[in-house]
Amino acid sequence: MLTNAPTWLIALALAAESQPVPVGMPLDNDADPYRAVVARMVRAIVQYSRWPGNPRHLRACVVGPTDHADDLLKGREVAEIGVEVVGRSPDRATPAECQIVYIGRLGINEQRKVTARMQDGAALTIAENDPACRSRAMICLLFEAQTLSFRLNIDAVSRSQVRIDPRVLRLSGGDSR
Amino acid sequence: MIGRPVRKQPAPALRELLARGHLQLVLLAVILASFSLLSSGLFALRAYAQQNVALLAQTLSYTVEPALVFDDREAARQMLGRLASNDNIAWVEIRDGAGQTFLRWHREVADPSDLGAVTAQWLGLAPVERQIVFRGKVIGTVRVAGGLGAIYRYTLASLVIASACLGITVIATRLLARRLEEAVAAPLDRIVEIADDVIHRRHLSRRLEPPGIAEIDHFAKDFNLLLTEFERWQETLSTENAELSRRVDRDPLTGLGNRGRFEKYLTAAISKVATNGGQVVVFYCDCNSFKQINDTHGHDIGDLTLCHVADTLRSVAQDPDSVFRLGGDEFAMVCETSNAAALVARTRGALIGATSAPVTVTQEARLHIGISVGHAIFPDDGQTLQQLMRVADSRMYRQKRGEIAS
Repeated sequence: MLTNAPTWLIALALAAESQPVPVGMPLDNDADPYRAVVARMVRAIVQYSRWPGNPRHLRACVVGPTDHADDLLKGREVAEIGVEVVGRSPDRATPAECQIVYIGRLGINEQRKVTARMQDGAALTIAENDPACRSRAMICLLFEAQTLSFRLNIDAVSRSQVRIDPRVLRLSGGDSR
Repeated sequence: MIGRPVRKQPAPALRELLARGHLQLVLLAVILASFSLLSSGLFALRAYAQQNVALLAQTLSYTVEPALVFDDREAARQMLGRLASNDNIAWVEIRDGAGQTFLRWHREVADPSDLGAVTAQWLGLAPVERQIVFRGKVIGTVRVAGGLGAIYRYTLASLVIASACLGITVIATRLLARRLEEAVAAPLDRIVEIADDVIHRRHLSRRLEPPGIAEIDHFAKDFNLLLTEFERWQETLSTENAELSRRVDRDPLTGLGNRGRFEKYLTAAISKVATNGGQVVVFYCDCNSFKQINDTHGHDIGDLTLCHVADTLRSVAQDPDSVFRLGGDEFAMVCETSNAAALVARTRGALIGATSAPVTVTQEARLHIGISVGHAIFPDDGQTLQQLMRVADSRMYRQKRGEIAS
């Protein structure tokens, strides 16, 4: 009666639960309301990810044509956290060059090719155009009417050498296998 | 004998006094114990509550951090709703790096906020603030205020338990008082009873049993001593009374009853015979030459003569107490019988026989003490004492005249 269950126990119980909490980043009032938010989202995800050896500089490769990656490509948002943004064609995105891969508007097979190539390296893969999360990218962005959220592919996340903070896993809109 | 304080109201009974004393003592004890328990409990609880709040603030600052980074209020709200679900939390507020409120969460069933806040302040339960640090940078703060649910419940439970204890102790006090009263009041009641017995019926032979309580034992001992003293006193008194009354109706010279005693004795004998049947014979005796002996030999010899007559009568009488000296040289004897004529003849013969020879009164005086005897028989010679006396007297004088004449 003196104390209820210690708070950390509740936290632990919460972490063990699997009910998805959909992430929702509010949108801007731009012509493209997603541009700035995508850049911030990528930045936040990168901040909660850890690469083996903790490299000081990371390179983000934007692959293929994109709809909402204009701000990301400008690189201002992520430069603060030591990330350089470059554009790459799908064939030239390799684990050696890209620690972060932002996959744009490609067909599902092409997306899978990219993710398959990155699979063995230490790379964080983010798919813009895959709401069903079938491209085997680790993170699939979800463009909704009011918010930008994302979904995690737990298989891809667990195979990758990049580690994502479990608290972010809790924020995700659940995984799709 | 024993002065009791006079009061307008009756003095309270011992049980009442005991119960009252116990009750006051127990009330004090229970209130003190409850107060100390309540305050120490509250103190401990307050420490726990504060720790709980600090812990939750710490947890939240870590858990909510990604939600703040991702600018996701909904996720943060859901986390908060779960983590702060226990009622020891009143409210949680999360601000972002710019100091703007990011999220605010309140208990749904809020205590009356003013009272709650005042009580919390009084208990020293200040809201706890923790910074949300992300990559070495403060990106926001979380403030958590403790709720008073547990403290309210504890206080309420303590008060209920204390009241229950009070109730139980009040009952127990009554029972204990009754027991004590039995132990203390019963011996006292016995003392009172014995004292009443002594006062009203003069039963001085009873004694108190020591009941086994030091003060009362002491008292009982003294009381018994007092009773013993009274008893002895009364015995002395009654012995003296008996002696006095014996002296009042007895002739000091011969030890015989006097006239008063004779009248009483004869009256009693008459009424007894009148009821039961039988006869009473009264003998009336007189010394024939008493005046002459007195004049010739002196009063000492006269007294000895009287004693001799008394002894003679006593030896003849059925009962030595039935012989009386009526005054001077007059004696009387009362006998109950069923055959008066035989008794008169026998007694008369014995008396004459005993007094016919000369008697050696002293070495110098050898005297002939003749006595004259008259008798009267109840109911034959008269019904009353006076009639009987008159008859006996006249018969005696007739005999005396005859003696002198002869």
